[in-house]
Amino acid sequence: MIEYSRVRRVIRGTDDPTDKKIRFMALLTSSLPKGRRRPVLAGGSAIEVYLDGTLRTGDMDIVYNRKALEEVLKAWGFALGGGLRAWANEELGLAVDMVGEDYSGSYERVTTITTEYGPATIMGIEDLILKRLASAKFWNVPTDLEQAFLLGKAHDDSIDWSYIQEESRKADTGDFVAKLKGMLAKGDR
Amino acid sequence: MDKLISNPDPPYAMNRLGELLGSTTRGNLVEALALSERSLTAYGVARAYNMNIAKVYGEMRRLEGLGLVRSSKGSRGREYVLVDDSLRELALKLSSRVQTYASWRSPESKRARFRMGLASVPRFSLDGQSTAVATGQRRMPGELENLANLGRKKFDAKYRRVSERAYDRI
Repeated sequence: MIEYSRVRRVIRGTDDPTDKKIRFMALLTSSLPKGRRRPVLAGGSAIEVYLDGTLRTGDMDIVYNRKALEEVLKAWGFALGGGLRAWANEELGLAVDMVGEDYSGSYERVTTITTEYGPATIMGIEDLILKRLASAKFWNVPTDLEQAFLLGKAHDDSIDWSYIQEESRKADTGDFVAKLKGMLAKGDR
Repeated sequence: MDKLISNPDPPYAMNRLGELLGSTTRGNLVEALALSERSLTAYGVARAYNMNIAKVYGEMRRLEGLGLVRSSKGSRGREYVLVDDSLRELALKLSSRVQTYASWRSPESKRARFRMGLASVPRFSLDGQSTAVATGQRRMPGELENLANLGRKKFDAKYRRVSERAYDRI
């Protein structure tokens, strides 16, 4: 496992909040056993990466084996914050939310960013869009539709829409995919 | 600049732009044009801010007369665009919808977010280092497209694509 002193130096070596998260994911991946699935950055913080901070969130939603992740977080001075799964380190200005052990998206569609500190794995854009659309539909969160729009607009050239269509049928969000595509075609003017 | 945002909770509640320009309508209008960076109809601005359309038309004409705004005939009627970059910059700094990046990063703001579980509410940045827009308000037409384009531009500047789903940090 990478020493906390190095983690501290690397994370505090940048003022860019999105870079901090990428660096953290890279250091975390490098500290965990090789040969297993890598930890995946999901949720709002993943969207933040795809939009490079144009949209910012606070905590990092990480999908990984809870026990192994806890071990690293404790060694790096993280303490339990609010709730039973949110860990925070005020010195680093980072908070981690352990959102689960099983990645609900497709591992084939994750994005890997290679940094000098190791690789950082980010939830695939398609799965992020699907999640946001489901939230917009079933939880009636309008900002989630906005976030799906931002992702779709910013990365329109690298999205596998056939995958989104197929998965949305299973999730009963086909109507919101159509809505999003309409918004993307028309713009938000 | 940061001293102007003295109350971090909420830090962008007061319409300082309107106060400075001596009119809430004028402040909202300049803010709308500055945020959108696209031409807008007076109707669109009036609707976004729930303002009297006649008042907005009047202010548009007044700003155009001062050379701060330019109008042209568009598909949806007369469209207006802010042409004075200094006014745009000032509007973004003073906007009730915008919080400076420095203020967002201030220890007070950080502590407040930490107490809330590090902010579950996302904020939007309009350019590299300067601003973050509060959510929960009606967006300007074209605002989301601008944010998406900006996000992509920043992403491309930071990461180099090496294969379909793999990037290198530049």
